[in-house]
Amino acid sequence: MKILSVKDLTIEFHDHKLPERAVEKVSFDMDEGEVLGLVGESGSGKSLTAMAIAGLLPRKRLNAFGEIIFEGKDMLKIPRSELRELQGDELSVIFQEPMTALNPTMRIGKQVEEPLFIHHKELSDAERKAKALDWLEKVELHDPERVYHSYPHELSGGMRQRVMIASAMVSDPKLLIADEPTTALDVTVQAQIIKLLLRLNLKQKVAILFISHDLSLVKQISENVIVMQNGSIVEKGKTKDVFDSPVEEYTKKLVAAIPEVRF
Amino acid sequence: MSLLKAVIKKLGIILLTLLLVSFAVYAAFELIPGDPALSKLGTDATPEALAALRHEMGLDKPFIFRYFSWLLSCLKGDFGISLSYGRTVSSMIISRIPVTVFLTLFSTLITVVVSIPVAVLMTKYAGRFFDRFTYVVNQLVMSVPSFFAGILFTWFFGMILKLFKPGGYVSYDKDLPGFLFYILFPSIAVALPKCAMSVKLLRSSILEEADKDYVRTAYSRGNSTMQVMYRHVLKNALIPLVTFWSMSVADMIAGAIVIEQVFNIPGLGRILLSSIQNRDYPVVEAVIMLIALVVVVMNLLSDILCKKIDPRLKS
Amino acid sequence: MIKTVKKLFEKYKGFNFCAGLIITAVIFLIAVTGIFYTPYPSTAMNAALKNAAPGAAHIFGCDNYGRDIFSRVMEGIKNTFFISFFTVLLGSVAGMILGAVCGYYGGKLDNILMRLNDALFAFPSILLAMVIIALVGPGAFNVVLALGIAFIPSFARIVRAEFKKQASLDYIAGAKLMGAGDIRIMFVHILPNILPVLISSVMIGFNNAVLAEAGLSFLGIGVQPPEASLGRMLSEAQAFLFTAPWYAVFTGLSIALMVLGFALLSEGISEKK
Repeated sequence: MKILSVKDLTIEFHDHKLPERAVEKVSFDMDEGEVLGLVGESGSGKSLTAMAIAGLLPRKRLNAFGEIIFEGKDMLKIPRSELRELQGDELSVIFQEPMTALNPTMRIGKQVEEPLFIHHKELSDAERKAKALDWLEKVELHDPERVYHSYPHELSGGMRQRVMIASAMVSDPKLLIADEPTTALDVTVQAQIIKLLLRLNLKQKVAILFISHDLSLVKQISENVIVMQNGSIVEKGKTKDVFDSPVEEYTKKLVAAIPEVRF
Repeated sequence: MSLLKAVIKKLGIILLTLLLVSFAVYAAFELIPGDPALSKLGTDATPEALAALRHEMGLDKPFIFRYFSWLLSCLKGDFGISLSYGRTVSSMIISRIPVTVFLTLFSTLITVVVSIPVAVLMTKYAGRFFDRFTYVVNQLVMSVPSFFAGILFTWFFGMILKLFKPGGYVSYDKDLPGFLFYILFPSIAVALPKCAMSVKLLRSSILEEADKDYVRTAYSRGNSTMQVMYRHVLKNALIPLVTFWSMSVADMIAGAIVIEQVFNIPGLGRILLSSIQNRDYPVVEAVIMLIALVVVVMNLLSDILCKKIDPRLKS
Repeated sequence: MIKTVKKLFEKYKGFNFCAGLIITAVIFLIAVTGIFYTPYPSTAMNAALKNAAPGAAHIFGCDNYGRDIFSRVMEGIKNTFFISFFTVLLGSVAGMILGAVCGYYGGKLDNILMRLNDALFAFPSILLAMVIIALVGPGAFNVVLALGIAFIPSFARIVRAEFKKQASLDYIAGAKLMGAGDIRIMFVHILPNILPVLISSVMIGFNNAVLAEAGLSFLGIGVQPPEASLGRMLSEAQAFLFTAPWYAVFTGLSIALMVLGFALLSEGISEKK
């Protein structure tokens, strides 16, 4: 079952004198429960593509054309109110910088609960709290009760990213967009977060669009991969095939650049 | 434990500040040439009578001794006797404190209550007509001194629209609603420039916060623009404003003291002014100490409030 | 001269800067002209013109003694302008020296002085000036003294913070290695680097001085008659608000305009691109 279908997605900056294309005619599909890696260097348009799918493009500066069909709705055409109903409920995002992605003056618990507060008004305060605590536990945070009452600055970067994941998963979304979720973290924490995401994918059947510049990470996490360069897709397919026998020159270079770890 | 330590340290700083101010004020008035005993008795007094009065007033004691005995009686609420009225300073001041306090409180309240929605609306329409228009008006309002605004109010609202009777002050213990209504116009006059400054500060603070990462996170959860503003951005944007407002309270007191002259209100300003003109030092000292106390307490209050809003400051 | 002005305009194209510059230039022209020329002698009374409305001969009208309000406003602007100028000069130079010494050397002296400074800073400067006037008495010179002293803390605070920041930078260590003395480092190396901050605080200080001077004169403890001062004129005008509102309006507006000009100018400078 397809849950996401991107067709001819083109994104233009329109605050420059000449419209500048940052993403050009990108098309791909995602199945339910699939983990799809999206790799490329910075400036390749991978993050813009992800933000467009999440409905988070700043409309004042950017124009997006094409189709992004999610849950049978075109994310680029539906009114904002309908888009908001999907955001945080059916579709969630975790970001690159866990240090700044959380509101510094709001308790962790309130932030984890917020998607429920917005999308599931039928739940009581106690039910919301129970769900939030449950999720804090599921993302392997010790002492969820204490974390629930903490503020972001009291947690480490890895803990904050776990909190972000809990908040993204609390309303059982169908699609999780992870925009370089481990780039700002230590290598050991990085590995833990990757494992956590994989477990969530298995248990909750959530599809994950994993954006990264780090090919070795993508190799670990995703079945399928898309390689982007200068706003266009240069290669896509099974991760194994793409890495073992890259066709395009650019992919070859990227693959060759992966450091081999020997023990 | 560390919180207790911080509180003790803060209290220590407050006491030290008050001590410093009291010493500076007392010493300053000691430096003035002139003999209070002489000015009280007149130049034709006998040396014996002069000496007796000097002894009675404690003027023959060393300075430090006099300072501490003055300080001690101040702590008991006894600020001495007015040189020009012969009454105790505390009896002259006490009935006027509520007037100035109400004025200051009103102005502060108006500043806070008006500036928040205006700044929020400006950022909502950032770059559009409402924003630009309000920005210009704001800049103009900032330049009008409150006593001129007060005069304009008297003329326009008092004399032309006849909303209130210029100079028709009613005491708070006789007619509280009447008093509050009369005091409304001077309060607005005092608040206007501070309000304009708050709007400017808050506007840029909100715009700065709106660019931060957590705002994108909030949008990704399905918040609408206004929900993002009220649930996330505003609280963070208000942190620098709390400090500004608490510092403004001192300026509001100064503003109140001036505006009292415009609207003919018998508050602390009137008494401070007449005692400055008559060189009635005990009264000046008392009023200054009172204001210093308020300033220091407001400082403490803003510290506590900031810590309440911004959890990062606690550690 | 024209070239430098042109350059300045190109550097700070903003509306704020241009409007501020024009207003300030007009005010400055009036202040300077006011030294040796006013349309009418500012103290010449004319009983026939008591509270006369604005007209061709007296564009701002006349006050309760029949004196030409425009001439008096000119003189008031002159007085306020120069009092504010010297106030800021006194406050900024004294504050700069204090702040520089405290920020550069640090230590115990810095601690004590800054504690005192903070206590004074929290105090509204107009109240501080009132206390000093209570000590030394009113009058133009004493107003400069009182306000100048009252403004020291705010300047000292800013300069100290900047000096502290600069003193820890590498180029100062370099200058020290080359054998530059403390005084030389403070005024030849550091001072030029904090000039932008200093200029903007001087401009804000000038505005505060205008407002404070007008306030003190309004309260009757500033410039003393027969010298004209905008604040005192405003308080006189209040008594004739009903019969001659233009007296208060024109006087008050000229204070507001003075403040506005400088506010726009400093705004314009700080928003340069």
